Amino acid sequence: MSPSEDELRAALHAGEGAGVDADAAIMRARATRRTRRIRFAGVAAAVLVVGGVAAGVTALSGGGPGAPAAQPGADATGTAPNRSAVTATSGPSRPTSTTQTPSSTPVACPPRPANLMLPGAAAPASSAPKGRYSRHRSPA
Amino acid sequence: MRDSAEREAAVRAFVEANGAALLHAARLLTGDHHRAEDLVQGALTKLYLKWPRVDAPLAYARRALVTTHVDAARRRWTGERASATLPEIAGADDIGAADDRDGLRRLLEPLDARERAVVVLRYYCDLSEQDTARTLRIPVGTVKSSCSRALAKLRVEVGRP
Repeated sequence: MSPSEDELRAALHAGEGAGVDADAAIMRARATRRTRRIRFAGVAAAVLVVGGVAAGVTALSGGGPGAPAAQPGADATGTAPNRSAVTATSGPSRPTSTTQTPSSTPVACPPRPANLMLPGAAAPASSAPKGRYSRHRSPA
Repeated sequence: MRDSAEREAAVRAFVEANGAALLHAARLLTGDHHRAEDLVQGALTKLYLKWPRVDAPLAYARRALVTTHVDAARRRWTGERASATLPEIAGADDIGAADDRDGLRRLLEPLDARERAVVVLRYYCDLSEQDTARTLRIPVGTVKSSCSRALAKLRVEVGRP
């Protein structure tokens, strides 16, 4: 005995009942959309708060791009007239600053670190002083 | 605000026109009336959320129905929990309807989720093999082989005393 496709169709169509309550379905869909929006807003707010806190901490710790540069020429007692609050709270000064003479001018940090030459590479023209890496020069 | 009202009116009209067919298809897929209601609700929620971008709402709802069912059948944990107390006991008036549902459930019981989806789409929703393949996102050859295998299983079940 094998059911034909028509019999299978009739069997599958048998017992079709009532439909779906449209209002209830729309209410639940609306509630789902509201929940998703609330969750998305919460995640976005959390990202904004974390980003703001991170930016604030970076700015207060002096690592930001707008922070004033440290003054190595200032003495350890903090009597320099233009000593800023940031440098006052950033710990004791280096010992090298106390050994300098009062007449010496403060040396500012270079805008970019000096390039070190690797063995076998060409020497940069501006950064390395002459004679320092004479070991790697060509024998000519 | 006006878009939302228009969307709700359109979705309401769609549900009133096609809700019964979707619910019956879900009942055939799951074999259980309550799970079928949950399945239809999930499909209608997806349809409501994507209504402005959907070109063919009935095809989208059918696809959401069968893909949700097949995905749920793949999971080991289906959300059911063992309970010491029995749930509601069916009343005497529900016996006839329960018999019908039970017969329907028994008819498709030997089929797995994909075969059941293929049979429902082909013989209940009257889709062609190409449309069934497009809805399930599987090749047409897979539809043919699944359908053939499902019919063979059903023949064995019907022929069994």
